[in-house]
Amino acid sequence: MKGQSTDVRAILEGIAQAVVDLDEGEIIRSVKKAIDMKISPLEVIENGLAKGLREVGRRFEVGQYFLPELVTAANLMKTGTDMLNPYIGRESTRRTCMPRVLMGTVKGDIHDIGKNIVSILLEANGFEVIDLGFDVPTDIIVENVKEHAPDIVGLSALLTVTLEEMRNVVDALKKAGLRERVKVMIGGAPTSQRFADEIGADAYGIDANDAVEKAKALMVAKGGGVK
Amino acid sequence: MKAYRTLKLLNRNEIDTIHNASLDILEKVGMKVPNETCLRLFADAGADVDYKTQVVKAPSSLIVECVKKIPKRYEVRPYDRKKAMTVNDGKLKGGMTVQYFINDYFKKERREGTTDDVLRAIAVGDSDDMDHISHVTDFVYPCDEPLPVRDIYGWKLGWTYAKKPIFAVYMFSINSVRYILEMAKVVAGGEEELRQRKIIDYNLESTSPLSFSSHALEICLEFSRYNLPLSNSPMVMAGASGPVTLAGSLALCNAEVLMAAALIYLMNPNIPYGYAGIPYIMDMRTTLCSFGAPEQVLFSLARIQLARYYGFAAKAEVGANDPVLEDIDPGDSSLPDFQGGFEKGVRSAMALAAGAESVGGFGMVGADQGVSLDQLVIDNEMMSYMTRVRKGFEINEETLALDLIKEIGIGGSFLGARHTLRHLRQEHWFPKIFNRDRWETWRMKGGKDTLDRAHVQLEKILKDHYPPEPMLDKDQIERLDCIYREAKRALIPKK
Repeated sequence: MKGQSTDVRAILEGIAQAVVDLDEGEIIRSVKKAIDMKISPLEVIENGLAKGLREVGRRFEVGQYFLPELVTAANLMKTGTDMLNPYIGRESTRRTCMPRVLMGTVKGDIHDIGKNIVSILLEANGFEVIDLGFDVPTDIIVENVKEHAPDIVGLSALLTVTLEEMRNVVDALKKAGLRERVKVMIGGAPTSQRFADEIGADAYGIDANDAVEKAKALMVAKGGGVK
Repeated sequence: MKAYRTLKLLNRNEIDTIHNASLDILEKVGMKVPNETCLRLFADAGADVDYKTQVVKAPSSLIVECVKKIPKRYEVRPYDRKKAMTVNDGKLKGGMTVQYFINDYFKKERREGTTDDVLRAIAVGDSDDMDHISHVTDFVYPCDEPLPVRDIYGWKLGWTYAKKPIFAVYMFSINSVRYILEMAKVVAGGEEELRQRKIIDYNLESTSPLSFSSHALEICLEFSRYNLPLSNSPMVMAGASGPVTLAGSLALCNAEVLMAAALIYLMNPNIPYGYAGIPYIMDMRTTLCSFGAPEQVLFSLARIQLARYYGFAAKAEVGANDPVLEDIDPGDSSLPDFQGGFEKGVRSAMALAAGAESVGGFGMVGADQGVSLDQLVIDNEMMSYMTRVRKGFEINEETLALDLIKEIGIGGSFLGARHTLRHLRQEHWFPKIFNRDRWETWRMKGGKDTLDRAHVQLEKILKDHYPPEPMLDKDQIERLDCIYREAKRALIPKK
């Protein structure tokens, strides 16, 4: 933020604080103002919206904020980025420096609360998340790995019945020749480190916070790392 | 029967309000029913069916009619006829849970279950020492068998070894269900016998809010061919998959239970149905679906009243897919410590006072976190205690013992009286593992806590009853083996 005017810094601080306060009106007003002031949209996201979301994530971790606050903050971040998106295209620098995670709850499973929390916390911690949602067929996951070239694929399942789908995804990635290019991370109630080892996944997250730590570690192992 | 059916949380007006709210939900929003046959059943019965979105909006009159008419009472006749059990007969019942993990309280570790764990659990649950367990389960999945056929193997084990009725084993898909029902016919002694003996049931577990899953509907249709008992226990999570407010989540959960009753009645009017739904609080810090929260006590009391309102035995889901059970999920504690005992105790005592017929989730660790045989022994003890409370006490000439009081007079002793001998064992409850030693004696015996003492009893039961003897004859066992071999050939993907 070197060389920024006090005005710009105040606006960004205000946006971050508005996310923490879950104040939708203030976010819309301040983001509008930031657009008018021609502050770089990426700057607004990184040092405004995402910074606020990181603080919300921290408060969630220490038990000060609860899940509804976390989800609301993530929705508000989206409100902000939706306003900013039309202005990002003109810049050459997309958020390419960020590690990219492809998230999905595997086929047959529609229980995605846990996966959503992981997605939010990953975003708050400097990852770009592409969320494929729930009940995602294996071939869709493979296609998206081809298209988006993520660093990590995160798979979740709650039902014991759908565990086998995780193995199918890993196998399908191998078959498509993509397995070397991407790290695979799994999580969900019936999963375990033992199961991760068995199906050849690279990491297992015990809970959302652990998943973020594991994702960071995977990036370090990949030689990338998170800023 | 004194301390029974007296506790009421809701008044009649409040029950009506919940009931009407549920009907309103089904009429205005409806439920997603992703199955062509089921959609047609609803359409033929006069419901508003959208085949494209697969949403069924059901008129209140249809729901009320089906819920009223659906059979609510049935008998389960397992291999040992003496252990038969009638659902909705007012007698107190207790049942085991089934989980993915098996936990070791002493090492504080857990692992996936194995075939041997299943056999140990059946041996213990089936034993006469576990006198308050009326029906058993596999307790854990036999994870040493391949996943696509693990459920089939689970039922095979249960039917081969369990003397008591066996429930809640789990079924993965319509593919495995076909093999499981083939086995059921062998065990029951034929197709007609299966219809009569009802040795297997299925729980739909609709996905809240307001959606059935297609694989559950397929299984349901298959079950309906044999008049087998069905139920639906949605796990509405207040604040996540239902309103954060208790009343709203209760109305939503009740709506899903009623919709399933209507659907099942339309499939086949001879299928018995159990009222098996209870909403849950989701802990908004950990996402744990809480079983031990005070709100669960409230949900449980309200649910028992709702079930009775519709004429059901107030059966309930208990952490496993068990339609014959009544109440009481265990608590949230990871250990059988004060929290665990308090949560279970409060929940079960209040549910029984409200008229619960059955208690379940025996042997469960925390909220669906696994199973422990030590916990099973402790839960049986708790149930034994509760049974005594539920029995109340008689007041008559013999029990008032006025003649005796006059005879013994002032300053005498009742210890040597025949009256004392005659009534002691019926009037007073004796614990098997709960402590009644004085401090010094307790210290001298090793200063053991409840868990230690439960473990001693468990070791003894295992020594006496493990490994269990097969209950089926040689021919039946061979036929089950044959069906299982076929299932493996058909369902395990070739490498």
